[in-house]
Amino acid sequence: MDPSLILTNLLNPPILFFLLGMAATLLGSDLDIPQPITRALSLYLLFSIGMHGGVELHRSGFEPAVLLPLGIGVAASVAIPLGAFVLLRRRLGVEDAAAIAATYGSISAVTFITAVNFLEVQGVRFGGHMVAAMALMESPPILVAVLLARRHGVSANGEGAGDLPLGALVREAALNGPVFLLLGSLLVGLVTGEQGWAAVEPFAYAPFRGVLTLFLLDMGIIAARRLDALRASGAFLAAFAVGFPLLNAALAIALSALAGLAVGDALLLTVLFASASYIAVPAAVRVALPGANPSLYLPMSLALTFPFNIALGIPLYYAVIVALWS
Amino acid sequence: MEKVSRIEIVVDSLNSGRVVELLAKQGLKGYTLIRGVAGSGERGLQRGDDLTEVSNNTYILTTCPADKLEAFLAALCPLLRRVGGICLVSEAVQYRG
Repeated sequence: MDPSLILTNLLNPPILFFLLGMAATLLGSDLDIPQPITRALSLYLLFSIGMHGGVELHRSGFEPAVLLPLGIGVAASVAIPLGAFVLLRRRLGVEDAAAIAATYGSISAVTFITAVNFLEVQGVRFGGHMVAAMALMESPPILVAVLLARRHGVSANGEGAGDLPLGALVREAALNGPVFLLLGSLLVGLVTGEQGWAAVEPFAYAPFRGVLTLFLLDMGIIAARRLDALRASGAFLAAFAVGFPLLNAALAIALSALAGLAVGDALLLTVLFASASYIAVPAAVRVALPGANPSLYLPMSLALTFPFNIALGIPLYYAVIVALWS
Repeated sequence: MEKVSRIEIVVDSLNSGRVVELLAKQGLKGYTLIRGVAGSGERGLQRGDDLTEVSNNTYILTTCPADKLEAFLAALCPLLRRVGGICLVSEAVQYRG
């Protein structure tokens, strides 16, 4: 592997600002970005990536080659939490294992967006349908995890407060704000095509990298604040937070090769397999599995898996894919 | 002037809707709700800095007449045991303008 690939990635402004945010917290700076601004930045990123993906999908159309990675992604979003749950149950209780399984079965939109940025810097094209794959992979792990927890008797404790009806859970997962905006933007981009994209491009595309950079600064600040909780969670979970994504990445690369995906699509599918949610899933799990400890699943994904993926994982996966594909 | 029980509840933000539903079910229609509250308790530090509100608490203030207090607490306590949180009850005097 060419080490300059990692260096090029690390010396990108979004990654450097992420590290700057971490440094600010670790050095005791009072640097802080107000939460409503962070929320607005995240909504912008989802709107931008959704619109862009929709337009790309409009350009490419729905061919079998487009549907294949979507199918692989959805199947993985059911299989990965099942595998994670089996592994985690050796050390953890049902609700903690289910919550972490949901977190690692789902995806991180910001990791995906950072990978898109990486591909653009490398000049590698990718299909807009990968944005749809991201949206489709977000929610199923939540349902799988809750069903697993219920199968293992979590709802049988008689207290009832965590027993969200399954219909309500499906509705909550599908209408989750970030997922809804992402899918909605994708649909708008798909329907309005080139004309719609031309109308919004100056706002939807040009500021994208700058907004991502500022958002990652805040992510760096927040991730560093979770490091103490991560230390307390123990070596097994820390090893899981890096090892399990690597395992998923290897699986994704193998499936991408079998499916004959292009390099850009293969990288994005790999990132979807290897990333862990820290926005949609923790919020849903907090309600659906209130007995699970958020100081386990949130720091694992936010303070370890996310930094690992954006700093080292993305260039590593890319290097492996390029080596295997050539 | 009326003697009431002052009820203060701190619960994680994502489960605060359940507390509000419970207030309504018990006939306690008035409340004040403050979002984005930070703090620390049995379930660790809630930083109030989270995009998803997983690390945020919500503070709910309400009053309750004496005849409804027992039923309200009987309904609230199992919920707080399950999702975490605290409820403080104190005597207060309510003045209406």
